[in-house]
Amino acid sequence: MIRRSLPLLALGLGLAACSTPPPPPPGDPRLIITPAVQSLSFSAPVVNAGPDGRLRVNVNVVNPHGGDFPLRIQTDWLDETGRPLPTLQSRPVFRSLARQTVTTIEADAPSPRARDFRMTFDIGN
Amino acid sequence: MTDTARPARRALLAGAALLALPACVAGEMATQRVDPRNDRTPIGMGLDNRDFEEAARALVRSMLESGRLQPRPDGQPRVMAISRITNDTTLRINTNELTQLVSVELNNSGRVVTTTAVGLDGPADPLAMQTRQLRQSGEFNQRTVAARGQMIAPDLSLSGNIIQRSTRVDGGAMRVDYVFQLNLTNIRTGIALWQGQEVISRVGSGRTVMW
Repeated sequence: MIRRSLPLLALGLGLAACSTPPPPPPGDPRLIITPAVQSLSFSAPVVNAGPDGRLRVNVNVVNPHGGDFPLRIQTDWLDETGRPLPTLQSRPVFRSLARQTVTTIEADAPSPRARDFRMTFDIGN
Repeated sequence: MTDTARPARRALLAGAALLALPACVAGEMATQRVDPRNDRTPIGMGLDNRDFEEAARALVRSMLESGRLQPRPDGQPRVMAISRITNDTTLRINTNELTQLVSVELNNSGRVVTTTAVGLDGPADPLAMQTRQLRQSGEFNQRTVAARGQMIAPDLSLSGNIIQRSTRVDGGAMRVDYVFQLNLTNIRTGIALWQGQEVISRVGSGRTVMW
């Protein structure tokens, strides 16, 4: 009985290893990475304030694939109360990431009133 | 069935089929609302709202990044007037769609405000000047009527072009480039403070005709 169940147990463990979930996204809660783009690598966001007081964000994205990757980026800029500012800078931006390269995604706050941001990455089409 | 009834039946069936055809075509897609913040509807070879927003977003970003939009000496934002935006495409475009997006975004930045009292083809809002005529009216409390010398003249002028270039590419497809060009001119000196260009391109069926 035990001899019979051992291969089954081994098979079950093997299958569980195959279905290991993809690695978690970077810990920064300001980056929202949808499952469709989790095969890309995202750096932690670098946030600076420009000379005019507006926030500027850079995120490096690595495309390890053998083909170009269509990426859709949407950046919401939030005021001090956490409400999104109405701005064209929150409209989706589409980038085609060249294969096996690093692309820097940049976003600039529309005004110094923006205190925080939320950047969502999704597949472009 | 008699010989005379047969053609009549055929005609009836043909008529019914013809009537049903447009109903089928019209029933292919139901009307839906489109959320402009999450618009994933298909695109065409022409320009839609998303393209104007994309062009305006990129151009305003470039303007603000240039560092040339410094406030006036009194600390107040610069005053911009809208000049001519030329539509050099085969599309029927109301260029206000672009200028409105640009001026709203610049206003929100706190660096530039737009005057609607001065424009190339007359003011965008003629009422500001017309209400000055109330100075002669005894019906209005004159303290509530705009006094002389209150309006602020523009020191920046926004002009530009939207250009289209269509080329055939391999495989019979068509490539269309839409070039959005904007210039921000210092009215006092006539020198362009900032110039920018954003290109939006499409590749699609060569059978597409754009009007």
